[in-house]
Amino acid sequence: MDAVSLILEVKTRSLNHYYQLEQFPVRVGRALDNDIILSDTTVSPHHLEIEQLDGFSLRVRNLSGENGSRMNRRSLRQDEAVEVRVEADPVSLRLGNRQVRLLRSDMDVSRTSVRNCSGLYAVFCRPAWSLSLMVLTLLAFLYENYLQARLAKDITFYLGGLMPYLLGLVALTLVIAGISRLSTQRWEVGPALSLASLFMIGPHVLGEIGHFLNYLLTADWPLEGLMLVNNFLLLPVVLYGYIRLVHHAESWSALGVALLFSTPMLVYQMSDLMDQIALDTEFTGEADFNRTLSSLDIRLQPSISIDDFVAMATQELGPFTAESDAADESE
Amino acid sequence: MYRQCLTIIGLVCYLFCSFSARAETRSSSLYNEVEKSIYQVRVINHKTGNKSVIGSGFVVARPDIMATNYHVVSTYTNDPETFSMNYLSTTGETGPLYLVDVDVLHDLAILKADAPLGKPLKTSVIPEKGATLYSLGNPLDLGFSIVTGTNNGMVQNSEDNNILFSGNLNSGMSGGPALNESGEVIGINVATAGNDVSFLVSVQYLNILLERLRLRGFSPAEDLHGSITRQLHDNSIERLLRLQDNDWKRVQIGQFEVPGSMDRTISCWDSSDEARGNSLMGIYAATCSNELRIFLDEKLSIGEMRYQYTWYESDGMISPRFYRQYEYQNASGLINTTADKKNVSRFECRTRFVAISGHDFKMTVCRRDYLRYQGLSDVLVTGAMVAEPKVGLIFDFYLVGTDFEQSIRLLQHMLKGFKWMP
Repeated sequence: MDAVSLILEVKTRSLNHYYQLEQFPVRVGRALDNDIILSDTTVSPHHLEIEQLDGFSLRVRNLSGENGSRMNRRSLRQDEAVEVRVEADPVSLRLGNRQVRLLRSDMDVSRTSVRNCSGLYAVFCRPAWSLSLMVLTLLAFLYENYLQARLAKDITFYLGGLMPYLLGLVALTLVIAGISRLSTQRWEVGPALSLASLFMIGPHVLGEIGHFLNYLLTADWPLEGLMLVNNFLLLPVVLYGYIRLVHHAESWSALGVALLFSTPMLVYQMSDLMDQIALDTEFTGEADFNRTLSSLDIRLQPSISIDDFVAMATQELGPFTAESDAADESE
Repeated sequence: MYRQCLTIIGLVCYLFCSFSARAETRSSSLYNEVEKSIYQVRVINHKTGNKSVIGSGFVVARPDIMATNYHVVSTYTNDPETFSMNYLSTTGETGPLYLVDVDVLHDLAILKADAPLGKPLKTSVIPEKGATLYSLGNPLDLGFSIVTGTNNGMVQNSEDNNILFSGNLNSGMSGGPALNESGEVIGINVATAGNDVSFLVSVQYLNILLERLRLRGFSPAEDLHGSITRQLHDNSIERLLRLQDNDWKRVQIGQFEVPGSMDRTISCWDSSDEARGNSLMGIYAATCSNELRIFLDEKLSIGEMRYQYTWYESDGMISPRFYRQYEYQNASGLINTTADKKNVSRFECRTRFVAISGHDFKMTVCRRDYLRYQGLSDVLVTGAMVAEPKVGLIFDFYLVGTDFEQSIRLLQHMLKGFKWMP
């Protein structure tokens, strides 16, 4: 066996437990007379017995008739013994609901998750960024309040209008930081503030860009497209970045968690989208055209003469279309 | 002083009483003279056997020919499979009625019965303003009635040349005759605005229609729907061509001088928002419209034309803030009709930037077509001036049930009439 030894890994929520297997047979179970005691209620008092045949060759016997055991995803009958050799790939076992692995001590461990604070992640991990984002978000809402007011008001009116946003930002930050605290055992308020700010300012920024593009192209699809991005992508993408950074998760598991947390929102947006599609197919007496106006007046369409406009309208809207429409309806 | 007032009141009462006593005498004799020529017209739903619409009618031209309003029988013309028509006399007799022809523009319909109905009423010219008129019909299905009122001449500023009748018409009296002192028809009851303001179709249109039918022996129209559609379409083109040829009045709105009333049928009103003390935007508006509503069915009236100019100016706002409010105002586009998908197609729109009198407008033209009236469309035009940091003009132009091409020609005329006044 030399210096390499056999290890039994028991997976737990925060840090896994490791037992070096030296004296065989090793019995695993919930009863206190076992060699390895697992205080998991789904594990039987005497659940599993491991015998050494030779070196890394083992015989694993399932003693549990209750929740049973699985080895490499195959379930074992009661008192069934299986011979297995621990190679570079570990042997996975499931005792009741508890994940357990048999490993060799010379197995490669995963790379150290280095706290990556460059590029886009800097938005989360640099306090200066977090603060700037918060200030930017509040300024954006303040400006929005100012633009929307139709009557002359005092500055206190605009500041008063800002308070609900500030309250929302603080509450969201605390919820995010609190959830992270439960999992990482650390307070990460900065990243939580960044995340909350991004949630709030994201839709606003996308809306402004969409409005600009709508006027630029004299069309409604840019804003509609960006709103789809906002409704379906913003939450998972920002969550993904946050989980990768703060929770040091691998990309796939970060993606999984981000999607899991986004699901309620995504389902809600999906049902909203379905309603929208259903409404769009309904008859409406309302004319549908691009109504955006912009003080910048940046647009791709040139101005044409009245005569050209009339010629265009006569040509493009000229033919009587009711009959083809009626035919479509009857199909 | 007190005594004097009483005398005046007494005098007024005396005049009024003597007047109504005289009218009552004539109206009761008149009623007896024409009673046998007045009928209730009823549209019956086959599926329930019950009446769905009631109006009035009168025998004219021939003993088996009856005149009424188009709007009384439109339920039948729009769905002859489900509905039929019959009459009810003052003595309670009934019998079927058949449609001969209609004049949809003047809301007239000619019906025919299987058997002679009564003595045809004579028609006459409209008497002088102030003459007493007697209107007959069956208001609210309560029984045949005669209403006394005054002729107040042709309605001013209107396209349909109706007679203004100062008397109380009620629903159910539609299609009944309005008679002069000699018992001759001078108009047909058609509408009321309440409070003794009522309208009669001038008898000249009935005469024209009857003359046409006499030539073909009152045989029913072969393609009634086609004929209705043609009447509407021709009328729309004729109206739009007439407007294009007119000299238009001009109105000043903000820094623009724009076309105002195009002829006597279109009147313009100020529709500015009342400014509030702390408002950041001045809004000045003028709305011009005609009063034409050609009845097609209960949910569909066409002929309306409206154009509106709204001037916006910033009062101390920065340009993005002004544009936020300006864009918020740029929400026009709903035509006030209850047309649904059985009647009209969806709107199809085109938007371009158009240079008008040296200023750019974001202009949109939309069109939707009537499914059952070929050649008629609703046209919606809206344009907002752009590129001026602190002033704006929104121009709206709606035409309901119109010829698209002539509407666009009229639009072209209008846009060329815009003039920037620096």
